[in-house]
Amino acid sequence: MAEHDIRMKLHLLCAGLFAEPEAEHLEHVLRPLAAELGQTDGPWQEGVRALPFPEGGRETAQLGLEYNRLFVLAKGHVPVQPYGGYWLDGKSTLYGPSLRTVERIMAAEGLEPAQASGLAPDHVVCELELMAHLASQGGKKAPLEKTLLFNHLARWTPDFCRAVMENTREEFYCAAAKLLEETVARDEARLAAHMGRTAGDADEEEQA
Amino acid sequence: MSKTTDPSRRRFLGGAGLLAVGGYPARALARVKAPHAAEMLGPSREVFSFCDMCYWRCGLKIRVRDGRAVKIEGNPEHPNNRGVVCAKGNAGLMAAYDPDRLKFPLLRMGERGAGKWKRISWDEAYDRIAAAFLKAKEQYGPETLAMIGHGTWEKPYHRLAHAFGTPNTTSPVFGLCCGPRDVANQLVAGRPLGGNETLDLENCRYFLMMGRNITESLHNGETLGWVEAVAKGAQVVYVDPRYTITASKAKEWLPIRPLTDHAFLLALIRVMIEERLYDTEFVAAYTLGLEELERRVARYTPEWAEEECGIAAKDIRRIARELAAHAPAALVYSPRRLTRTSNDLGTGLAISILNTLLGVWDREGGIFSPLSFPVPEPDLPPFPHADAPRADGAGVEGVWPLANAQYGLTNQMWSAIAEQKPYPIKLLLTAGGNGFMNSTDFDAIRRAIGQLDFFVAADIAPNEMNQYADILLPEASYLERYDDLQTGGAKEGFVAVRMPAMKPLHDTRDAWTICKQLAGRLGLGAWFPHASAAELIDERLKKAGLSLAELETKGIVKKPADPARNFPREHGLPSVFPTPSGKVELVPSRLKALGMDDALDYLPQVRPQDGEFHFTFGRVGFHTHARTQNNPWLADLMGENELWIHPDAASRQGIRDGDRVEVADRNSRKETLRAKVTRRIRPDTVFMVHGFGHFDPRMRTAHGKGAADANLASRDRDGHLGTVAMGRSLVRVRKL
Ligand code: SF4
Repeated sequence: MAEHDIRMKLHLLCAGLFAEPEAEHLEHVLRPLAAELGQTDGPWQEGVRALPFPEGGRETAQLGLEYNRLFVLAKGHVPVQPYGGYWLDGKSTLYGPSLRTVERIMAAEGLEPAQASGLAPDHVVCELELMAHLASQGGKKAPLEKTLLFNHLARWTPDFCRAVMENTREEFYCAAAKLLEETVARDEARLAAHMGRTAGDADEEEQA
Repeated sequence: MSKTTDPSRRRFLGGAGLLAVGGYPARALARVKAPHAAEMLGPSREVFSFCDMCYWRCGLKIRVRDGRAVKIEGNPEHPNNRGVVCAKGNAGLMAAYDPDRLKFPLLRMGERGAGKWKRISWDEAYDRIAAAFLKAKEQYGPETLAMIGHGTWEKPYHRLAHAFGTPNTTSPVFGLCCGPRDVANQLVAGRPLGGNETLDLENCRYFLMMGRNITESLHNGETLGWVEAVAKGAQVVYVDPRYTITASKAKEWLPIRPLTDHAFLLALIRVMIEERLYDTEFVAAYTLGLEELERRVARYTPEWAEEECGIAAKDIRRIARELAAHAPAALVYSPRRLTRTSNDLGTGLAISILNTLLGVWDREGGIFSPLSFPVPEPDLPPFPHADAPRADGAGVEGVWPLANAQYGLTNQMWSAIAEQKPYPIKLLLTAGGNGFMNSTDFDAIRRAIGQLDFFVAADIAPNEMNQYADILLPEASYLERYDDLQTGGAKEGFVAVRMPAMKPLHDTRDAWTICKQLAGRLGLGAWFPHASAAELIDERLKKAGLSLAELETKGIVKKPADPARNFPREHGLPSVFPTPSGKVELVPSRLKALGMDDALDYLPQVRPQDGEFHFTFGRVGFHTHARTQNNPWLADLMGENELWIHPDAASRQGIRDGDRVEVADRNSRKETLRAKVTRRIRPDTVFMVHGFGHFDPRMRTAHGKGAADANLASRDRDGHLGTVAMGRSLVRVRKL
């Protein structure tokens, strides 16, 4: 499998793992995706194979409750806010300035969050799907990938993943967070090596 | 790639424009309708609105950039604020961008209040609500639904509830706030002065402020008018157990004993009549009942009042003379929330009577007649006649006949649900509001919720009450929606519009859409014929010779002030008083007919025993009720409340400034907070700012900060109106 294809699938898989769990999607999209990646040699293999997909409706329902508790609303405060802006813009506001960059990248690609999803553009699922979409174009969108990675995903998903691991009661989310953390770290190393650029450079480019 | 994957058949790929990446369905991204290029920071534009951060409703211009509201400014054309926006108004952006906001429709999964939720679609939410409503209606009748609202967005919910056939719609504004003030003016003069009181503040020369803390319980237009008058040299006598910021602007602070304002006012009436200080011409031409009033107040001498309220008899006489000397540019200023004693109606009547004796009706510097801007409502079928009387007894003969039946008695409604009397109430629909923090009886609220078959709450943010809902509907904030029109009666008549500054964030919907979609499933679509709130207001405006498009260009259309109609008596024109007699009734005939004229007489209130304090609470300029404590910008200005206590009282208990203290009432309700040791309060009284002490952990900013006055305020009632006598609590304070 070509490198960009693997990256696209990994990001798509991670996005799916943090989307609201739905039996059909888990069964017919995420499982096959994970199975395919798990058969491909590479450092992701172990993390992908370790994903404990729910077996049957009850486990999926259980996962749904945990999803809502972690990311939507809980008795305590929402333990893990899934919005990039929350982690980047000071934790007291959503729809802050960092979200605009993601929106601009989306707009440049002719994309926007699907209305029915109700998700803000900087929701983890949106950002990861956007990255998957950019990666699917085989390096043609490298500058945008770089901006999205260095100014967004790499800056907040490590904290997000740690928060998931600290707060979740489900193995599934622990494994998903681990996979996302590793995927972003590998991506960061790869892009930095490829382009010899740093996050600071990405900032400049974005401002330009 | 797995050959078994056929993403095209997935339901989530169904919508046109959804994205597939490498053949896999995306769950969150879609193609935009028209391809467009990356945007740079766009120019800003402004849309008009009116504020929802408190109930004054200032006119706003909202600056919008790249599809997001970025700054809130005041609309200089709007009479409610003349371009000024207060701290709360500025922080309105955070109502929309709050990370704690409710974002998706949720279905309760565990026990009520256990905090286990599942995100569901709007359709599923509507279907479940409709099924529960129809089932309960079938079993118990339509009156089994209670609707409790709080905010501008509540109007469609009232309509939905009335179309459903229940009389039980309520809002705290009457029973927990301004009720007694409005009823008193209505009984005396047939003119309730309304939420935005029609006082000619700018031109007033003498204010007797009865605990009206206008600089902290602030509303821009009102505060501006008052400040203008003070700047021009108006005298202010400020009456309050506490030295507030308003007191600091006054000529004189009178630290009255709590709950005794009525005694002070009765003595003023007596002096005014005895010394013939009143406007004899006005009283002769326009009023009835002076002789009877004189007889009734004969026993309320200034010396008697001094004993009762602690204000010296000589000061009472002097103030009566000073008021008269400045009349008609003089006002006895009612508190806004007049729910303190078991005879608040009496206090309200005394204020209205004093203003009448001063002859301030329709005079400059007194009370003006507002102009209105009539905009007809849409043509709708009449609501089904509700056979059952209101469960809270508001407006019901033999129960609380004087209470306003439009807003009802929210406290009584909670009790009616808790007791399931006079009949079963099994459905609750709330639109905003927070029963725990705006009522005074946590137990009754808990018991009430426990009695329900089904509870649906619509709101923009989590709070103590809505955590118990069976279905939680996330509403679009006031920055994301059209709402019904604001029609106002100030010196100018006006109609103003609320336009959305951005699309609803997350998966939220505006109240009109929610109610329309629910109405459709309940077979009540005839009451919601408009496709949207925009269409509804356009129809209303067209009936008034305007249009939404026109209003959107300026935000407000006004009928200019007309001095002859605002102040007819300054122009040789008669005043109109729509009472049963057509006169101002110093002893209101309706009150007598109901056998309730004892409200005119003084009713002694509670007094603290040794070691006890009067418990008082009130507002501050940075917060509105219990709604804004979780707003991060406002929490920055004030993040928790403190217990104000006099140094003498504090030292008796070994309390120092900043110590943590426990406050307990006679029913063993307890709250803890920090002490603020200050001479700005009477030694027999403690005070805290209202609205803190939130115990819903979903409110990350406000949770656990300060103490809940609602858990200490009294649950007693005004015996004539059924409104809450919140000030009758006596508390002890202990250092922790
Ligand atoms: S006084 Fe402040 S909070 Fe109230 S409506 Fe005006 S701007 Fe909004």
